[in-house]
Amino acid sequence: MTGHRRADGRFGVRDHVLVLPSVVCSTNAAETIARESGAVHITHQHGCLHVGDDLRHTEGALIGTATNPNVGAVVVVSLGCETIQGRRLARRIEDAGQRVAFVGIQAEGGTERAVAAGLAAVADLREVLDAIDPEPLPGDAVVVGLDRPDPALRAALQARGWQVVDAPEGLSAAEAHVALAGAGAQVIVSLRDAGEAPLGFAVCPVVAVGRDPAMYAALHDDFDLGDADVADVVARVEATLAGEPTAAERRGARDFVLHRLAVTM
Amino acid sequence: MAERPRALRLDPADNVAVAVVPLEAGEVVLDVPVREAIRFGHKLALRDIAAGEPILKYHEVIGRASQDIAAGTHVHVHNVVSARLPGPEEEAA
Amino acid sequence: MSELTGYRRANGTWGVRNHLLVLPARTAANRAAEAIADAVDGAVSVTHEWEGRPGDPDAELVARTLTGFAANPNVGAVLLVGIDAADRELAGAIVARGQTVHLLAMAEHGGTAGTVAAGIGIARRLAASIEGWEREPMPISALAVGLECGGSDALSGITANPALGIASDRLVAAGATTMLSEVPELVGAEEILAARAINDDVARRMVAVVHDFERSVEALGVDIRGAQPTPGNIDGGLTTIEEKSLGAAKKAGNAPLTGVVDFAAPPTIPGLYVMDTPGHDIEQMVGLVAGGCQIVAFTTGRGTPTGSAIAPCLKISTNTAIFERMAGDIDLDAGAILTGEETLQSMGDRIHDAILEAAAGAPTCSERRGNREFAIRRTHY
Repeated sequence: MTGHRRADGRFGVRDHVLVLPSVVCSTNAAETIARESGAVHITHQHGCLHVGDDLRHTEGALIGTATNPNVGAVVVVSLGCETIQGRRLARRIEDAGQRVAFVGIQAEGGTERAVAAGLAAVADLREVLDAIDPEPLPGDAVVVGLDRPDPALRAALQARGWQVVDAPEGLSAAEAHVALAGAGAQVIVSLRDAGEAPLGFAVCPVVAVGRDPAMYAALHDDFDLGDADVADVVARVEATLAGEPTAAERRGARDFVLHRLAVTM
Repeated sequence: MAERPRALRLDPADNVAVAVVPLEAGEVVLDVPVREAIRFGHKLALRDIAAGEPILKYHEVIGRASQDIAAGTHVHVHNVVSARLPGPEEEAA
Repeated sequence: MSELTGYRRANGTWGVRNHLLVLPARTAANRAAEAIADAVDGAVSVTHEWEGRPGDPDAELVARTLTGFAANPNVGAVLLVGIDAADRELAGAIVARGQTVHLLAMAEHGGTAGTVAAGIGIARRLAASIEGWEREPMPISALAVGLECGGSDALSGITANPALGIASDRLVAAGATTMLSEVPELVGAEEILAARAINDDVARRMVAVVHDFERSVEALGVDIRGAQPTPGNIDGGLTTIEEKSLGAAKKAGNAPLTGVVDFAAPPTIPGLYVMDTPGHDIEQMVGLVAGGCQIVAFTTGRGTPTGSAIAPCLKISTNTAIFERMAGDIDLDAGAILTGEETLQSMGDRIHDAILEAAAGAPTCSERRGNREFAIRRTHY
């Protein structure tokens, strides 16, 4: 298996250029840039009017997504007046060792100019990334995130020499994916129970395991496995590490649900 | 024909005016000598304002001076706090 | 100036657009809804962050907002993309408002791919069915205009907001509804608005809604500068929340205050209202549209391109520099008041006319650019 070595020594099993809006108001420009360039992007409703711990937490979540090892480079798209200041966000992502370009809608002079600047930035970054050869992926560089605790699965993954991270307690699945990506997981295993539909995440392949037979049958195309043996889950994770797209990746799911600590002002 | 005003006093009772062009130190606006550069949209003190005194704009209180403010100087976040939601650490100088 | 025209819906409401809305009932349907709308001419979709977790304390608020948004008369028909039978309740609520809804359950199509395939066919049929709607002369009493400001600067309260207030007063005097929002940006202006309330009850509610917000901030024990005002507000000259609020309240002109309504709640009789929304540009826009506003008039000092998938959003700059800088994202320039090209009154009249022209079909910048931001406020964490 091969991976993409990052500046901090971690490895990505994907090599994304992420177009990251710092605020809800720049999501349309970010989406346009991503669609026209083939980069990945997230859509969210945050970035402005946060206070206190919620502000720090939200900024941290955006930085965590941007610095996930599957992301080779980031284009931060900012409006300019928002609480989570785009330039500062870009600087903090850069300080963490990530390749960053910055586009400000107000600074560029409107959406159209910002999109043009963003497309140029994506093209440059893509060229840089494509020129770097993948390297053999060390087993101990693999981090698998679980959006629910599962001791048997954890043990089986660890037996392969991989690290396993659990999601913080009390989060929904989608919120957990944001946290797991921030913790450096390259692959997320999503364990879905009764009544739970599978979700995807823009920068990390999500292996969706349908433990409820009814849900698995009903949404078959969106799951990777049914109520499978631990060994089968491990095998699917390995295939994902090796590059096989998950169901979420095939359909382009990029759900982003942010756990918030306080209401918007 | 009169020149367009460089700052607007929105009510006769106001102790600040809003610059509608960048103001330069040394010019005189609304009979007040400007003591430092004031950016477009920012406020100029029309008279000396003591620490704790209300800042009046639209003939309403828009905050309190957190330190003494000299006529002709910049009135903004460095010398004004909200009277309604000052935050946990604010205290008048 | 052209007369006001719109689409008269079966339930008696009037729309100023005739959209086919593809709406995900829950986050897991976002991708399918987006893919269907992408493939069908004239269809629009939104993306949201509501997973539909059991026991979510904001479930009623979210359901009410999605229902109101889908039922907005600018929408000719809704393709509601759900997961399974649990989404029938939402579909039923939208139907009960008199909206045409087709519920597409992903569980009946094996997941996203099958749902998209089926959904494209259904959406095309729905699109064809609403093509028959035609504009008729529309009574102004059927028009509800949201009044919003975003990316404000110190000129907001001097040029664009007072000019919008003049337009608002004309609309209300003619029998229309206008809706002010952003309770955090009315801190310091609540007594001014309460003094115009049509009765004591409305006056009390106006003051209470602002004081409740202040108490919630005090309970957090944080300095809200950076949130209110934002870094952009501060760079633009606004120093405190009350300075911002006094400028923001000018959007409401001088008309009597007819009522204070909850987030996404529709008013019952025409007039000027305050809707209880956060200051967040998109949360308030969604609240206003879900509460029945067919068009939003939006002043901006720093410049913002945001809009609604289903409602024209008319952008009015406070200053000419930003109008020229962000051409393509802003529709009208109230900075003309500063240059002397317009007076407050003449600018107010221009805004009034532009609102009616947009309602009669003239596309706004946000519609041309396809801005479709979506967010529902939360009250619990």
